Parts: sequence; C-alpha cells; structure tokens
Amino acid sequence: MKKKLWMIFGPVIVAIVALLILLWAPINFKTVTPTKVQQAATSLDVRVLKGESVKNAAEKENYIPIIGSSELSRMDPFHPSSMAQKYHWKNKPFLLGNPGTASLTQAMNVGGMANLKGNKAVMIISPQWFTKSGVQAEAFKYFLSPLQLTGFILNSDHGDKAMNKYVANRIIDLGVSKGVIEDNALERISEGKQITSFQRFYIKRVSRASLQSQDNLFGSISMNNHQKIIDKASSKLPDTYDYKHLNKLAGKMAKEHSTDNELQIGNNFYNKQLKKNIITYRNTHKHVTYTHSPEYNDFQALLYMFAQNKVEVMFVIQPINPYWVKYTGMPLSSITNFDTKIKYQLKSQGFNNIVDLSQVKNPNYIAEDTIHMGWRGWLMMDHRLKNYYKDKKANPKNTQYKMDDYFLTDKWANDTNFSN
Amino acid sequence: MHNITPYSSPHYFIYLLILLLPIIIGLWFGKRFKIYDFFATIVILITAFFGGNMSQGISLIAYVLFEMLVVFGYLSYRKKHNSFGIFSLFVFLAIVPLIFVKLDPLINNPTISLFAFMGISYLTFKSVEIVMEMRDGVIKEIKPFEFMRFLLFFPTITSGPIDRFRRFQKDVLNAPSREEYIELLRSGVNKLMQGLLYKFIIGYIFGTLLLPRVTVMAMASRGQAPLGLSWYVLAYMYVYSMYLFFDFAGYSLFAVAISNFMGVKTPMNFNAPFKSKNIKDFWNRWHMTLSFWFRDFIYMRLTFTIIKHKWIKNRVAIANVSYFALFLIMGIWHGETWYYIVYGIFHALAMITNDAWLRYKRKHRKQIPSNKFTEAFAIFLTFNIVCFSFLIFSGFLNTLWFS
Repeated sequence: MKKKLWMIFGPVIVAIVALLILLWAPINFKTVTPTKVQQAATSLDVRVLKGESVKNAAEKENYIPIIGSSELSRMDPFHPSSMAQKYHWKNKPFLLGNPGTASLTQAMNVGGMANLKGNKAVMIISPQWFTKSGVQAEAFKYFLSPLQLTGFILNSDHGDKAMNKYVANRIIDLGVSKGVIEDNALERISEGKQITSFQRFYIKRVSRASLQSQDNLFGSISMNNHQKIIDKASSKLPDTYDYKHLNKLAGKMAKEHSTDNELQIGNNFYNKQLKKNIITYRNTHKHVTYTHSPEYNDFQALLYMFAQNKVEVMFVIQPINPYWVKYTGMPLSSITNFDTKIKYQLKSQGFNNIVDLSQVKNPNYIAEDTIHMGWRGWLMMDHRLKNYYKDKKANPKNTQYKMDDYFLTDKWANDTNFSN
Repeated sequence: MHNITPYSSPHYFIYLLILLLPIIIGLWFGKRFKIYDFFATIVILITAFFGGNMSQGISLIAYVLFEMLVVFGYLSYRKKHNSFGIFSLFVFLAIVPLIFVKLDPLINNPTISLFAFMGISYLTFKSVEIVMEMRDGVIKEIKPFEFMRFLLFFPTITSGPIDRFRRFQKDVLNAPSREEYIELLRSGVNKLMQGLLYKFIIGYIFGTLLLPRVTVMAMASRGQAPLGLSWYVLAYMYVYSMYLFFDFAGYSLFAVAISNFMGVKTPMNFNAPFKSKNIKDFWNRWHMTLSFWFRDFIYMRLTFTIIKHKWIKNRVAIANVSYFALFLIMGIWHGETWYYIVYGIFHALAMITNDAWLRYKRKHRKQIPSNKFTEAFAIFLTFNIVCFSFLIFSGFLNTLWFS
C-alpha cells in the first residue's frame, strides 16, 4: 500500500520540493554573463526592463542606460548603440524602453536599479506621453514588474514620503493587483503609513525572494537579439568621426529611405502604418495640448527616483517630424508650451542638462517616421552623448537636486501659469 | 473580490486541494461526507460566481430554481401521461434561459439575459438530458437534492465534461473500495499533471506567446493578397488550433482529475483527436462528451423520428439531413455569428463527404490501396481540414475581412 501511494505521489512531492528549492533557497544562480549583458543592452526585451539582475550587472560594467520608449527600436546607423560601436565609445548605451513605456513605468524601473546609484543616465522624453488622460492603464499594467513593485514597497520606509504616497496611490488607481498582502501594503503606503512588520517579512522573504530567483533563472534566457541589426547599421558609417560629414550622410541616407511620401517618413513605416489611412490624420491634431496631464506628476516621481540615487541625468526632448506636425495641423504652440513647462519642472529642481531637439534650426530628417527620432535626430543627440559617455560616474556637483513636491500635485499637472 | 475562474491559475489548485483534503481522507476510509461535500460545493460556487457584483451568482440561483421547476414539473406530468407535444414544450422550457443568453449579442440589449453566468450551456445540457431520459422512462425517480448535486458538481461546472445522470449516480451513491480509490488517485494525479503541462505550458506558449504575434503579423500583411491572405494566416490557423486543443484539453483533464479525487469517474473529453483518420473519427475523439450528447439527443432522435414518420425514405438522405441539423445546432449554440454557423455547416458538409467517400471505398475496395502511406495521408488531410474549420471558428477571418 505504502509503495503504491509513493508511486503515485512520490514524483509530485519530489517535484514540489525541487521547485521550492529553486524558488526560495538562498542560492545565487549566476546566469548573467558579460555576453548576456551585451546582448541585453540592445535587446529591448521586456524581461530586461522588468527584471533587475541584468541591469545591475550592466551597471558594474561600462554601460550608461538610455531610458525612453518606442524610439529606441529605430535602429538606423545613427542610433546611439550603432555609433557607440563604430566609434568605440568608452561606455556603451544600455537601452531601456518599449512602445508604451512612460514616466511611471520608468520610475519603477529606475527605482529598482540599485547599482545606478552615483552613476549617469540619459532620459528621452516624448511629448506624446503628456496627454490629458496620461498613461493608459493597460500599458502600465503590462510593463509593471512585480519584482520592482516589491522593491518599491520595501523601500517605502525611506525616501520622500509624498512621492511614495503618490506612487502607491497611482498604482492602485491604475488597477494593479499583485496579491492580497502586496495590495494591502500599497494601501498603507498610499495612506502615508509604514507597512507592517508582517508585510515587510512576507514581501521580502516570500514574494521578493521567489521573484528574484525567477529573475536570475529566467530573466536573460533567449532574449531578443538585435546585435546583427546594430552590426549592419554601424557598418554603414565612415571610419572617421566628422560631424559635418555625418550630418550630410544622415540626410542623404534618410532621403533614400523615405521616397514614397513627401513627409520625410520612412518608407517601411509609411507603407505599413499610414499609406491606407493617412488622410484620416489630416488636421486631426489641431487642438492637441501637452500641458495638462497627470504625466507631469508621474514624471516628477521619476525625477525623485533619480534624485534619491544621486543619478546625473541628461534629458533629451524628442523632436516630432515637422512635416507631420504640419500635416496633422498641430499648432506650434503645443510644442513650445510643452517645452517651457517641462523645462521649468526640470530646471527649477536642478536638472540642468537638457538637450532640446524639439526646436532646432534645420529639422530636415530629424525623425525616422512621425514622432520617433532617427537619422539627423539621433546624430544631434549622439554629438552630445559622445562627451557625456566618456565617464560613467556622476559628477556630484551636478546632482545637487532641490526636489519640490508641488510637482506631484494636480495643480501642477494643469498649471500653465508659472514664472520662468 | 473578483470571480475566480476555476483552474485558471496555478494558485487555484493549492486552495482547491486543501478544500478537497477531507473528501480524499473520507474516501480513503470508504466514506462520503455528504454535508462536507455540500459545504465544499458552496465554497467553490461562492468564489466562482459571487465575486464582484454577484450578478452571476444571482443568475445561477435563478437558473437552478427555474430548471428545477421544469424538471420536476415534467417528472410529475410524465408519471401519468406521455404526450410528445408536452415533452417538446418542456425541452423548450429547459433551454429557454440558454436561448436568452445566446440571443443577447444579436439584440443589443444585454438586460435580457437574466440567466447569464459562466457554464450555463453545460448545466442546460445536463437538464435536457434528464428531461429526455424521463420521457424514455429510464429515469423514473429523482430527488431535488440529487438533481442539484448532479447539476452543480463543481469540478465540471463551468465547462464540462458533460456527465450523464445515471452514470453519475452510480459513482456518488457508493464510495469506491480502497483498491478502486487508489486507482482513481493514480489516474487523478496523472491527469492533473498532464493538464498542467497542457494548459499552463503548451497552451501558454501557443495562446499567450505565439498567438498575439501571428495575429499582428497576419493583420499587418493583409493588404498583400486578395481576401487578406498571407502565410501568417496559415500560421495563425495552426497556432490557434494548437492553443484551442491544449487549453481546453488541459482544462478538461483538470475537471476529470478533480472528479477522480472525489471518487467520480467523469468521462474524458479528448482522445488524441489529431490522430483521427477521418472527420467522423475526429468527432469521436474531440470534445467527446459534447459530441456524444449531440449524437444521442439530437442526431439519433431526429433520425428515429424521420424513419418512424417516414418523412424521408432514403437512408443516406436521412443521415445527411440529421448531420445538417446536428452541426447547425452546434454552430448556433456556439454563438450567433456568421463564423460559428459557417463552422457548423462546414463540418456537416465534411461529414456528408466523408460518408460518401466511405461508401465509395467499400464498393471499390480492391482498386483503392490501403497501407501505411494512405493512412498517414488520411491523418494529415483530416488534421488540416480540422485546423481550417478552427480558423473559421476562431472568428479571425471576421477580423481580417471586416474590421
């Protein structure tokens, strides 16, 4: 009888014990190798964004993260990853962003990058995030990492209280639910309370321990690989770096890639996304404004995360294809007002390194398609990155931030009447 | 609290097995705890239907009460009389709630489906079976408690397999012997593990990882050829078919496994359907409890009625008409959209063609070769025809052409 029962349940029990060991035993599974990190730097795999182990390993090597969204997948020869490879930058870009990632997702992401402390980062801002309704709940939920969430909850005992409260509230409002105990802990943080010692114990020892093991085990296996695309892109660049020459080359290459339309939109994108229904976009952006948005508060949460870790950040304001702007009837004031507001939020708190590509003298072929930078846009950014990437340590002089929690309020989200 | 869909996440099994433990211990010692069974059923029903705004739970209660009225109304009538008209009326009454729910999407007025809850189809199949077997005289007596226990047997409540009342009674009226129960535990553990592999690993790969990708690719290249066709549509067809099978077969294995732990031999739903040699063989292996239900309670009965009343003389024609009726009803049951109806008609035509081919083959047995290669070809052909029918069923063509 006993033998029969063992034959039935034995394999299941063995499997369960093996699983428990795999997930909770304090074993450090060393799966992240330098080759993996190199692949992860351009892979744009969601697991890299949502995980922690690969990014923390990258911070120990010569990588500086570029945090952004969909533009990062526009890998033409002038993409920073391609340029860094061709011209042997001392530090290489580590790309973090996908279509749909905006400030709050990146705030969680930066919050989870423990080894970013005291280092540099680049942040690409898209005006399109700053819509009236802000980030879409579905997109945020998709990119929300349970691992980073547990990290945020555990870190809530230090750092800025107003920011922790704000983020917890926002996560709850966007409809995230990752387990009863995590939900209750978030609830407490959103009320400005400390989490209970049981919550701390459970989230640290049970949830997070298992998530960390999972991240170690599965966070970097069979990732997307873009290395070939980068190799091909960088092979098209001349051997010597000469900005003027490259600038001409970028314009020329872009022109060859956008022959199907007069809007300087890449053929591929144009044929796939626009050709059939382009007419439906004509003059549809006449009343677009990017100055009233909860995204400003989310963005502030991200700034807090940078400030807490004393990260030196270069902010890049992404350009919009000027021909597309004209076609959709977007008033220029939409862009300039956004610029003024976001720069005010940055500068008044001590974030002074801003590369504004939204208003340049010659905006021809600055974008790859409609709203994503590319070609000359990348080159202009690269020109600034070149020096910035010489050293990955933050200069303490540049991280003297003066954070103001007014920027977390509804009032600021809708404020257009501020002094410069 | 939200409704917890049974078997939808691995966590569910941990809670479920804890709930089952007293039942398992009882059966080990040859005992059934009626009251605990009842309690466990209530717990599962509450978590599955009474989360959120409770509308599903209220519908379930209303539905069960209504079906009780129908079934016991007919039982008391059947004891004295046996008219075909009254019988038909009661069958119709038994399916009225389901008709309401199924008509909803057509009418654009969601309030009409008073009875909408997950699993209403499967409970209706069970109720109709009871009414029909009462008419046949094989179910003579049934207590309200027994009816409810059969209808609300929780391992199978949301999506089958569809058990039969008399078979079910045989299991629950007695506790299995120790040997029998050990065998049930073995079968239960195997099926549970196989189900986990099917639903949470293979089904996940096809449904969650691959399906969205091929969908996007197929939609992106729909401008390239007439009817939006591209190789990605073909890829979609296979990926969707695999997803459909592994997800549903996985679920069915869970339901049978949990039944086994409770000492009930719920019938299996799938028997290696992609190994079928022809379409008839396929329907004897795919969603078996549903196809057997349709066979016994629609196809056979219609065939007998036609023969009895001599409406049609030709045997082949009788079979063909009944196939059409069966698959059209099955299509309509799936939902009131063109693709479910076309799916039904497609399978009816496939069955008719298949029968014709089998007749032809019987007549020309000598001329038609039959060996390993023809058999492999038959399996390949059947598999592709079935996958094509699932492409219709998936509704993807609707998205591809009309959105």
